[in-house]
Amino acid sequence: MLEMLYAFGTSFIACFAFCFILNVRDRILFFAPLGGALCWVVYEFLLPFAPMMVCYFSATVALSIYAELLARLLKTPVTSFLLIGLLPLVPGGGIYYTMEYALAGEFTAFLSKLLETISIAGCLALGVLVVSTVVRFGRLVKKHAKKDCSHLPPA
Amino acid sequence: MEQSELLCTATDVAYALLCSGAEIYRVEEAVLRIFDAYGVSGGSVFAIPSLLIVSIRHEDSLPLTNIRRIRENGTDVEKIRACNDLCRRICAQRLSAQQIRQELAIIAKKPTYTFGQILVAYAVVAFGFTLVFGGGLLDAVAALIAGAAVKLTLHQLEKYDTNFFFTTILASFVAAAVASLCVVFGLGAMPDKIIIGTLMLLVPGTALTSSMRDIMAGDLIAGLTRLATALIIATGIALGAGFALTLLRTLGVA
Repeated sequence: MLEMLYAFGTSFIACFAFCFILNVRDRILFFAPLGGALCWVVYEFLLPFAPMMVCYFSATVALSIYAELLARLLKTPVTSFLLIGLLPLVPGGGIYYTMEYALAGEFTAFLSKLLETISIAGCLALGVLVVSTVVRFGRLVKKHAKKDCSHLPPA
Repeated sequence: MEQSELLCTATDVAYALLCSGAEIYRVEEAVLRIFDAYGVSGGSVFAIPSLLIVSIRHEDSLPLTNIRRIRENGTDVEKIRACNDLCRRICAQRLSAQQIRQELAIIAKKPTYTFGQILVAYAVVAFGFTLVFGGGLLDAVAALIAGAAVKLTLHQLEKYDTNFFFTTILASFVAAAVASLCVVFGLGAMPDKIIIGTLMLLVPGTALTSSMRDIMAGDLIAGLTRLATALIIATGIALGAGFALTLLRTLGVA
């Protein structure tokens, strides 16, 4: 429990600071890092129970759902929350260790870590894709149901 | 609104969105929605991160085309939000060209955070992520220094027209070097955690996310362009940190 709080707090601080780099303003300054912290906690929480890739995927799906919900609530583009929120999951460590193994001449470990890093990126991508596709599909269904020409897409 | 005015207006809004890092579908939809709001149906738009082409043809008149080249793609969440909002208002209220130009000027003048604030932000991001990935408090303090060093490096490199691959290699080099030297001088004990925390400043999270959203929306060219950018940046990070660590280890320092 305490580790979860620590994970939440530290990832929130990191994401909050990152908001300043991407020129995030007003209320999103709170809600974007919140998304980042939440998805990181989801990842950490699931890690003992599921394979790493599943955890990354689930955390990304959780973030994407959060982003879509908040985009509608706060009338802001979804990217505001995704760009900040996804940051803790991006495999910076993977890139670093891939490089370290290459430097040390450990070819097998290098390949293994490289594939792992690419796979993580793939899981993140899949997570974003899946939620975006579902949302777009939902919008299309609504559009056809309304049979209305003023279909201004939501933020 | 006159055709050429409408064309320029729509192009300007789309350009502002594109420069701020919006998704391709958002940029293209903005143009089409604006055309639609003023009753013009013969409009076409094509956008990739480095090029915007907008064309208008109303009824029997000759087609007009406006193209804009984008040299630098930044990410500005507030500008995306503001332009998106402006686009909604243009469609809802049918603003005049003059009003739109004024609004765009206001958006363009919107400040980003000051250099000092962003410098601190870089430091705190590195600090935070070092803690997230298991570093101790001293490691995180070292990361503060490394993060600030990264921003200073990036700031200096902005003055020269270098490509982003080189910039990434250099920034990553600085991050790894400063982090390792901090540990050598006794600040922190886990150089790898410090470096990873600092490198989170450079990892192409935005490029990866935007590329996925573009591919999902069917904009393969833009999506693959951004994906390539992400891969190049990731490679640059690995190379830069690798150079720094090799150098320090060969010198017997780290």
